[in-house]
Amino acid sequence: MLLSLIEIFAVILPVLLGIAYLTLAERKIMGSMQRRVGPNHIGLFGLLQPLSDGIKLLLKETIFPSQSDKIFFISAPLIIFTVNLLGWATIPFGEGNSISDMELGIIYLLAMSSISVVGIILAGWSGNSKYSLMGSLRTTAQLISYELVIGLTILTIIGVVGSYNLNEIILFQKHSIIFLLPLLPLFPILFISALAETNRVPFDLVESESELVSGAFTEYSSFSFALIFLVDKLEYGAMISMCTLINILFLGGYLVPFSYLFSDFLLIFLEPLFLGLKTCLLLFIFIWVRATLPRVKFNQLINLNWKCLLPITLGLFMLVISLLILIFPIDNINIQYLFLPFIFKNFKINKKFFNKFLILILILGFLSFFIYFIYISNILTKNII
Amino acid sequence: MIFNAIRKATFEQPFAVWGLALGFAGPALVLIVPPIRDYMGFVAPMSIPESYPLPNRPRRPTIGYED
Repeated sequence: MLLSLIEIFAVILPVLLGIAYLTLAERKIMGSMQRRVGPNHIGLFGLLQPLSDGIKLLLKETIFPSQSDKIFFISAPLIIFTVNLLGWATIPFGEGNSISDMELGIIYLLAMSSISVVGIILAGWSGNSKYSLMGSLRTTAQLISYELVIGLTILTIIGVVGSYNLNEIILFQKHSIIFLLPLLPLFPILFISALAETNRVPFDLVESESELVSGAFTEYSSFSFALIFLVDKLEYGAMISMCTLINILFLGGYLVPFSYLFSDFLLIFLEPLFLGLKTCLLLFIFIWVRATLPRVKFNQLINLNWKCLLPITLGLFMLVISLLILIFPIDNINIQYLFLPFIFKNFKINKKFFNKFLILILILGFLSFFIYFIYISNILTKNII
Repeated sequence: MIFNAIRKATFEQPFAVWGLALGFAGPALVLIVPPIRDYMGFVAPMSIPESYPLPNRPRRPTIGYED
C-alpha cells in the first residue's frame, strides 16, 4: 500500500512540476523567438516564476456566479484534473516500469482523454453564463472531431503491433524500427491533431486569450482556475501527456539509441531520461508552432479535420492494413487482433478464408465511412457553421 | 467522361480523392500482387511453428516416479 502510494507520487509530482515549469519554458522560448527577455525577475533566471504565479492564483478570492450549480461548478475542475492525471498510470517510463502495465493501456488512455470532455461541458454549463456555455460547446465540437483522427492513427499502429499495451508497442519498435520512418505520413497528421486536441495555437479558438477570456472557463477564479490551468484539456497537462503519447507511438518512447553500449543498471536511469528528452523535443515544437502561426477560423478548423485529415487517415489506415495482409498472408494475427482482440486469442479459424473476408469487410467499411464522413462534413460546413 | 470527373474532383476535393486513391490502392495490391508473385515463382514461406513438434511414435511407458 505504502509502496504503491510512493510509486504514484513518484509519477505525479514530477508531472505536476513539469507542467509548472513548462509554462516558464514556453514564456522563455517565446520570448527569445520574439526578441524579448521573458520572465527573469523572480528567482535566478526567473526560475521561481511558476511558484509565484501559483501562489498568486491561490491567494485570490473564489467567486461563485449567482445561480450557478455549485456542486458541478466545483466538481468540474476536479474531474478534469483527476482524469488527466489518471492517464499517466499506463505510461511506461522504462522497460516494465509503469504504475500499471495494462493489457488495453492505449484504450484506457483514449478513454481518459474522452472523459475530460464531460468535465469541460460541466464547467461551461454550471457557471450559468451563456459565454462559458458556448465556449464549452465549441471545445466539445473540436475535441470530439479531432479524437476521430487520433483514434484512427492509433488503430493503424495497433494493427501493425498487434497489441494495445504501450510497453509492447515500444518493444516492437525496439526489435524493428521506430514507427516515425515506416509510418511517416501518419506522424504529421497525429501532430496536427494533437495541436487541435490540446487546443494549442493555431487551433486555440476555444480559449482565444485575446477575445474569449478562457472560453468554457470564463467564470472560474482562484484555486479552481489553477486546477484547470494546470492540467486541463486546454493547456499544459494535456500537452505533456499528448507529447508523451506521440513519443511512445512514433519515436520509441523510452528507447535509448545504441542501448547495447550501456549496462542494464545504467539503462534504468537512462530510459526515463530519454523519454523525457524526446517529449521535450516535441513540446518545443508545440511552443515553436505557437510562436509562429496565426489562429485559424472555426470553419477552417472543422474543414481541416473532416475534409483533409480524416479522408487521408482513413486511406492510410486501409493501405497499411492491406500491406500487412499482403506481406504476412498467413500469420497476420495482429490484424485479427485489431478487430476482435478477445475472440481471436482463443479461436482457431481458416486464415486464408479470413483474409479474403477481411479485405471485403475493409473495403465496405472504408467506403461507408468515407461516404458518411464526407456527408457529415458537408452538413457541418454548409449548414451549421 | 469519368476521367474528366475525377480530374475535376482532384481540384475541388483533393483530399477526398487522394484518400480514396490511397484506400483503394491497398486492397488492389492485395488482389493484384499475389498472382504476379506466384507467376514469378515465389514460394510462400512456412508459417512460424506455434508449438514443439510431437514425436510420431507411441508414448514410452513411464518408470518409477517419472512423469
